[in-house]
Amino acid sequence: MSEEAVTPDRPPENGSAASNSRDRQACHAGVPSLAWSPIEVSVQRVPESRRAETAWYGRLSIKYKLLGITMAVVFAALLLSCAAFAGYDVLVFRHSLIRDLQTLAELIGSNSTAAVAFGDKSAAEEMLAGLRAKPHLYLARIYNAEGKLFASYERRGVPHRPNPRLQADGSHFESDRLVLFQGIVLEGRRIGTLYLESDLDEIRERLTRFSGITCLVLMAALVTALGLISKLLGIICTPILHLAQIAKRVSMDQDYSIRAEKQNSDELGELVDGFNEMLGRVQRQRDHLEEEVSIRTSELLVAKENAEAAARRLQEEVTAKELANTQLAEAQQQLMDVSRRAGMAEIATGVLHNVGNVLNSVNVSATVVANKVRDSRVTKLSALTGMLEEHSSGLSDFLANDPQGQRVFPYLTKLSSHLEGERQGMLQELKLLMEHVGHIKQIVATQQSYAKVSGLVEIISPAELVEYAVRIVQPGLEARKIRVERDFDDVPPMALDKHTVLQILLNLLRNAEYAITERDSARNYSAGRILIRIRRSGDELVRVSVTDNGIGIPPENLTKIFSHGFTTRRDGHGFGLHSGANAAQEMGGTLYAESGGPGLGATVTLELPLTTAAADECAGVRRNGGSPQEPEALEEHTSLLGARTANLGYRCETIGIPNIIR
Amino acid sequence: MVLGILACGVFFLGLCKATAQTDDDPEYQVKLAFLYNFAQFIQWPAEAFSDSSAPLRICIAGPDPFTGGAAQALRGRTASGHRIEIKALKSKDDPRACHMIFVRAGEKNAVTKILSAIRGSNALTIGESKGFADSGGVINLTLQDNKLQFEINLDAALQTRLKISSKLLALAKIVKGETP
Repeated sequence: MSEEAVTPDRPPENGSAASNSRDRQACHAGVPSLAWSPIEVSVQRVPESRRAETAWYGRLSIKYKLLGITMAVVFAALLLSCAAFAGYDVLVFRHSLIRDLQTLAELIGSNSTAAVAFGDKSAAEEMLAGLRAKPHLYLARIYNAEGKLFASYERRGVPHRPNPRLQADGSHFESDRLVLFQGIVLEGRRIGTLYLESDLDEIRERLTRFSGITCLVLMAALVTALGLISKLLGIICTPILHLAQIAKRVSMDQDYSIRAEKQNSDELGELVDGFNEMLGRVQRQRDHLEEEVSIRTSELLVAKENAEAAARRLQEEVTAKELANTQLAEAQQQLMDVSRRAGMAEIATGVLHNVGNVLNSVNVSATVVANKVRDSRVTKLSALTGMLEEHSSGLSDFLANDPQGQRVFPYLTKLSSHLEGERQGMLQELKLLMEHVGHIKQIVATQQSYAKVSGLVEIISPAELVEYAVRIVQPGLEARKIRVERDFDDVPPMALDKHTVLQILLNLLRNAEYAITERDSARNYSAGRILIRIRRSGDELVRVSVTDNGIGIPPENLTKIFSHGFTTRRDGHGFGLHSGANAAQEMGGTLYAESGGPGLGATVTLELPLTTAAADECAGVRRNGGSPQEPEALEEHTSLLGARTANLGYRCETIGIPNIIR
Repeated sequence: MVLGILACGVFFLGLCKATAQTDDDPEYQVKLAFLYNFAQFIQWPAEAFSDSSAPLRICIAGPDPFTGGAAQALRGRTASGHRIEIKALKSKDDPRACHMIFVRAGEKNAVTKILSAIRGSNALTIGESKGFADSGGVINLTLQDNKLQFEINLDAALQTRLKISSKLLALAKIVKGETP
């Protein structure tokens, strides 16, 4: 009955240590066989503050609770039934006391009839004296029919009582006794009255005895019940504790492969099954999770390696890129060189081709002249001269008389006219030859001008230069009815590499023209418009921009158009803007494009530093290398060498070309 | 007289009162009460009565002591359901018709005669003389220390088919004597 010893005001310091051991034995109270089992109750460690709030019974093990409940019920039931039995027994006993007394009275009354009838007092008292055997009956009296005392019996040691007033037949309990009146009847006639008085010690004794027995029975029953319940609680508790232990082990070891053992097939068995199933599910999920985690881990590892590799590669790439950049720069340099050389080669090819062509003509002319010289009748003249020398003495005679001489003059006349014709022919041929040579010279000069663009700086007004360029492309624009608008700031003449700038401008203008043409080749180009702006930006920069309303440039191409080899034209080289940009960069400026997108036109701007420093340098070397050339002549050259080689205006040459023709 | 007062003290109320109004000898009033009491403690066989309403006849052999009216007190009283009837036993009467025969002390001669006459019958003989029971009577009333007592001759009683209550026997002095 340990649970009755558990009181709510158990000192809290018993809590942790004591409660643990208590909990440990919780389910085995009175079950020694189980007390050694390794089963431990899982004790949820509750913080002290919360523990204090928990009711004392809340901390008890489930077995203690069950035990306590059952014992309380058993105790209450037993107590109640014992009390009921006691009460009932007292009632019954009182009845039986009365009955016994009545029986006794009947007996005495019946036996005393003769004595009473014959007035034999001694016989009556002798009979009453037989009541000594009844220890609780301490007073008996017989009254005669007149109500006078006939015979009396008093137990020894009992204080004398006064004669009771005769009452009607019957019995009743007084505070400490049971009294009885009964008539003594003979043949239907009442011949006397018997009075009996009994104490209630018997009831008290019986109650005391009963209480003792009840207590013993209660104790025995409770002990038996405790033993039985302790044993039987194992049926309920053992699986629960087993389950609790398994749950604890699972949660502590994180081992989900543990299974609870099913001991019964009742609800607890179902609980165990459910628990096991849950564990299985958790295990599967965990395995799955672990698998996934391992997969993910390996994936991550792979990803990490990949990332590292990528990083390494990136590093390498960066290095490579740096290298490539260097190489690219070198290559670019080389390319530029190569392209320059290629351009020069191209130019040289063109030049040589053209020169070759002209040289053919020169050759032809030279051959013609040579043949004419070789076949010239001049030899005839020398023969004539010799003949005349032979006849020098009689020359007149000879001329006059000799038949041969007579023919000299007509022959001379004929020869001279023939020679005149020959001379004329050769002169013509020579003129042609001279022209060819001059042509070659032009070609070479032009090539020279291309090859030696750099450094040819002149002081020139940008507007003038623009106008120049416009004039060059004017015929083409007019043919396509493209309007040219101008919006020029007042920009002073500046030091410019005229040729390069002009070349760039021409490129821009031709691109604009092309863009407008491309916009809708089937359309009339009347709507075509090119706006040229010259803007001065502070004291540093001058911007020359060419805006068209052509096909525009897709954003992705805005930078690409400056790369080498990029072109949208069928017959383009992809060199124009590239070389333009390079050239602009060389001049300390930039070339950039803007466009709203396809179909929205484009603006390409050449930005140049506003500097006059180079002008002085140029002025020093300036010489009259060439006469102002007419645009017509330029056109001729450009047609010969392409737009890039246009050579315009005054030149500031550092190296001159020998005058072939002049 | 003393006996009378004593008897009145002992005897139950009704009889005592009734006897108190008589001129009869108190001793005989007590004896009458004894007779009546005997009737109540003794059971006669059924054939002793012709029917259930037949009276219980008490015959008095010898001079009747209850002429003063004491017998009136017993009027209406019953014993075992039978009315009590007291009458004198005349010489011509058949004593066998009596249930109880009270033989007066002076009737010594009549005793043997009566006893022999009722032999084999169910009549209860009651005497009041010394040696009555010894000589074959069933009950004999005696006076000792001024107190009326009685003797019963069991052998004589056994001769009859009367059933004498043990309570009566408990009060009686049992004597042995010759059977009638």
